[in-house]
Amino acid sequence: MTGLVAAVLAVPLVLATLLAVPGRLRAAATALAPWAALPAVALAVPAVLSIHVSDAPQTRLDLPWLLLGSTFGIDDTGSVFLLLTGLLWLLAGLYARAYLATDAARTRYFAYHLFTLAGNLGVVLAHDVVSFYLSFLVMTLAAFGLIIHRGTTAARRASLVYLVMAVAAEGLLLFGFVVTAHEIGGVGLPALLPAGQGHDVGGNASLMLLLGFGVKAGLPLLHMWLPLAHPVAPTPASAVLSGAMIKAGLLGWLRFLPLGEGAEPLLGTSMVIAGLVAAFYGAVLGVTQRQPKALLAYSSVSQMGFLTVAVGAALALPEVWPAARTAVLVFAFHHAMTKGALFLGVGIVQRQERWRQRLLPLVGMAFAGAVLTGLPFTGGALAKSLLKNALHPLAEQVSWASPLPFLVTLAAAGTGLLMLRLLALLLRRAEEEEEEPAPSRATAGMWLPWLGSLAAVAAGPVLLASLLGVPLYGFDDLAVSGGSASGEGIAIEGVAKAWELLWPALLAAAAYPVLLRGAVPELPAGDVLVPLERVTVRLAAATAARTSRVAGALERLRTSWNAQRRRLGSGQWLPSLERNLMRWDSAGVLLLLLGALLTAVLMGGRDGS
Amino acid sequence: MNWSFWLPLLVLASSLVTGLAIFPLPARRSNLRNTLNMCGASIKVVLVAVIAWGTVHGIDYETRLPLLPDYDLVLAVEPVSLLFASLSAVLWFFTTIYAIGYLRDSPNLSRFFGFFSLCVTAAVGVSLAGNLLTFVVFYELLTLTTYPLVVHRGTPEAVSAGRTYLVYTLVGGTLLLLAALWLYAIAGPVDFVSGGVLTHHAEGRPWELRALFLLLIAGLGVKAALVPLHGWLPRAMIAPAPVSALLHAVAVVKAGAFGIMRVIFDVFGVRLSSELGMSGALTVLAATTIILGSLMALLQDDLKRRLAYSTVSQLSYILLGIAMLGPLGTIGGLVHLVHQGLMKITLFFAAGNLSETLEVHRVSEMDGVARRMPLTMAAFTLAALGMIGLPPVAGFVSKWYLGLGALEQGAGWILWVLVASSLLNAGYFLPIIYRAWFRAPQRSVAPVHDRLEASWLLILPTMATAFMALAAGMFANASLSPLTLARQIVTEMYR
Repeated sequence: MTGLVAAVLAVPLVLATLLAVPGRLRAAATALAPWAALPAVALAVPAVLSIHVSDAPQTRLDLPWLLLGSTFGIDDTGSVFLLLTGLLWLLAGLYARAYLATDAARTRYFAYHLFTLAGNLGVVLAHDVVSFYLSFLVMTLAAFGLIIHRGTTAARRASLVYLVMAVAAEGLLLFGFVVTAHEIGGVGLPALLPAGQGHDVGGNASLMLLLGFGVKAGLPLLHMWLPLAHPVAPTPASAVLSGAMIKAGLLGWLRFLPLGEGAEPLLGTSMVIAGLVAAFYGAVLGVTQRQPKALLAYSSVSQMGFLTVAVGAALALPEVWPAARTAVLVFAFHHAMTKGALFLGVGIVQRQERWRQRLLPLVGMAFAGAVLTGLPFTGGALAKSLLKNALHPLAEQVSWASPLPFLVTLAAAGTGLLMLRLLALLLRRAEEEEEEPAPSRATAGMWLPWLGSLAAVAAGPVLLASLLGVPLYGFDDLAVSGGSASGEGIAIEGVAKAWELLWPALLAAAAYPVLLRGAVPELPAGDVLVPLERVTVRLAAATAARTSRVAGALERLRTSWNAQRRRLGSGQWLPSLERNLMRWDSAGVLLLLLGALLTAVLMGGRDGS
Repeated sequence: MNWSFWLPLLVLASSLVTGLAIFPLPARRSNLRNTLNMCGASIKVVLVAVIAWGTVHGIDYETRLPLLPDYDLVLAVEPVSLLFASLSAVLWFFTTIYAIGYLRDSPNLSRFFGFFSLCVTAAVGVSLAGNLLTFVVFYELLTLTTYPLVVHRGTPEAVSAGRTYLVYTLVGGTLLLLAALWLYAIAGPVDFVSGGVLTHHAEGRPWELRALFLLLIAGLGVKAALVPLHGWLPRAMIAPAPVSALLHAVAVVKAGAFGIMRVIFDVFGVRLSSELGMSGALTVLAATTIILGSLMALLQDDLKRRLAYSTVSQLSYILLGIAMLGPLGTIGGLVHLVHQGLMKITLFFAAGNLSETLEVHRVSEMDGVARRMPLTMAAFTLAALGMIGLPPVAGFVSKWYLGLGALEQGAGWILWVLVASSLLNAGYFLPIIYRAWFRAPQRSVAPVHDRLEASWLLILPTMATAFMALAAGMFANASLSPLTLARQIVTEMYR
């Protein structure tokens, strides 16, 4: 198993290196690149199957010579993230092979694909702060290459916005990481240490970690890069960005924040509010989008809002954590697969030129959309029920939080609205789509990975939940069994519950025609970024003007000082001294003289003492 | 007569003799000159390796020559000096290769390489100096031997920059000399001793010692480019690329930083330095320099000027680590002495490659240069990421330990300075990387496939130092890494 851990990280890195070697090796590496996530899946599947089953020591790979002493390994949380990451990257890699079949720069694409993948897997497997930092960074920087791939003006703008936000986030994370390492007196990850052993890294560092990872996870106001990057990136890249990479931010929170300690009520509360804002904000802004992939990006902001609420609740109230952990794992897996399927599906729909050819993929999209909305008997319903149940302790104990479960349900109506809008956008003719003139129709190479992702959407969350010990076919009272007393609960259940799942979708369906008639305004992707950019440009121009004024003043000062000096006559003898000094023999004599002078001074100094 | 006496002298002689032998050579004997150069450089690396091996195995190397009555010229090999000496020897080796390739057809090469060798002799002398007098002698020698290198081109700008350089460094040298005499008056002829030599003389005269401390820092701060004293450094970048590389990575600026290190640890000692309250002031000064240097770098379009201001900023990382006066901070400062050298020399080599091969000198001209010179820009990118402080390149290790050191001393604000500096570094390095790799070239330059992008004499050193910068961070925890050595030194120091 240790060897497999090494292989998970080494395979993408080795393949990426081989891509740099022209000739037969490059050809072989390009052929293998789509499969690079296979070892990750191979490691993740048995690990997920044995979750909670035994207390056997987790697989660990110790590399004491690497960095400041690295440890990689797999634990329960990590195994779920590894499965969702590996599976999505594998599907996206296979999809990309067909999607980019006629792209001249596909080797370059796969190079960035492999590095981003290696970083993403490293984030999941890292068991120490420095390896986590390195992996997160490799993922972040390599993803820049995926976003800028097309090289269009929009792609450049999006990738620059992404880079600026990501680098700022790295600064915050550096602060958080160093404080963490200081507080726990080593480089282990707080979440992997035995309970009570320095989980709490202090409010300041927690805030920095929250915001730093929040850029990846799309916290409101830190989300601006998402709707810009997703439409311009090649579709398989959008799928992994929105499905897997966005979860790396979530995993960062799980690994570093003092969850279940109750140490940060204020921060936790703020996080819950931020998550709720994101859930609604993403839905509202998403509806105003014209590009399907920008809409999906806003949907990701909205869905990550649900996860943010759960993590924030666990930060605020320790009792929430055990149930919230299960909910977060199931929800993360569900969202990764569903969002991946939606993105891959958009790519297929857009490559079908005729309206009729679009119908079949649209059925699949409708299914994925229904799952994301959380219609009864879907993985989405399961994930949202688990989430709401996990929030109950908070809603009962804290007065302001009592409408929380209702608000979470209401936000699902927003998701439904978004999905309806998405289907409507996809039904239209391709006139204003960002896709380049489609080089070819969607081939089997694209269809098969997409169908695979739909299968994972249908079956995955339920299987995962059952492995995590969630009773699936019970009613309310049956849920109280063993460790899940806090309400790890009921998912697919009676009619009353079904109604609770159904009304948001019905609300969305009812609201949609009204909305359409009201002529939805079109807002630019990136919303608040647009005015922000304008202000920044103006500020930069003003600063530049001021700087040049200061520089001018300094220059004038220098000129007048030089003139002054010349007038005093001191400038006259210096140049000739220079000329003489430049001859190396005179410099040598000077050297000797200086030596003599030194000697003399020292003698004098000694006599004086 | 024994080896422990002669070896330190031989280390100096390996470059001194080379230099003296090169001076009289006529310009056309380039083969002989290059052979001499490479022999000298190789011998020095071997000798330093032998000394390092011996030191690890418990042999004390010390050369003591009577210079003045009561006052000896002392070359002593201690772990700290070994760290600096190995850096000088290894980087000199690569810079010599680079300089041979870079200056192939330029005039006055005997003068150049003669002073080049003397300059390294002085740098190694600074590193091995066993007392303040010896230190001052080599420190001044360094000033005088680098001046001809700075003005080598002989253009008006070079001469003017050289003048600035001389004025700054000679004034600094004079202050240092004064301080050395003052120290002599207080404590008599004393060697550097770990823990400080002034502890016994501290009673009742704190202000005198504070003034002495300030004088020493002012004298050394010129070469270490502390902020109001840094003006010479950005102007001196007019020198040929190999000189800038050596100047910025080892020879001159490091001599200043290394001197401040010796003053704090081996003249005043950690305890006295903190009792006098001077370290706090130095910390603030270093932090200011870090931020101001980066801000200035942000405004430069000339590539070498941008790199020069980056040096101003990065050097103060070393001082910051030392001034914190805690073990972790000291590790950060010490290790950055090596790491900054590896990364900065790579950046200057790469800048030299660009100007030699493509005549690209400005950041705004760098669009798409990576297509024409992928190896050079790969090395540049690696080193620049290291400068920002990103893992796995060496600079990250320095920053990590400086950050831990700041928290250890309860000075969380320093961590913010480091974060701000990282962001500023990203602000002036990432646009360069973006231009080079992701923008279309302004002039159409065909990539070369059939041969190397430039002479191997230029490419090999660039790649080698970039690789070392990567390895120093990637394998920071391995034995023999700079970090491991710095940890051992600091363990001894704070025992």
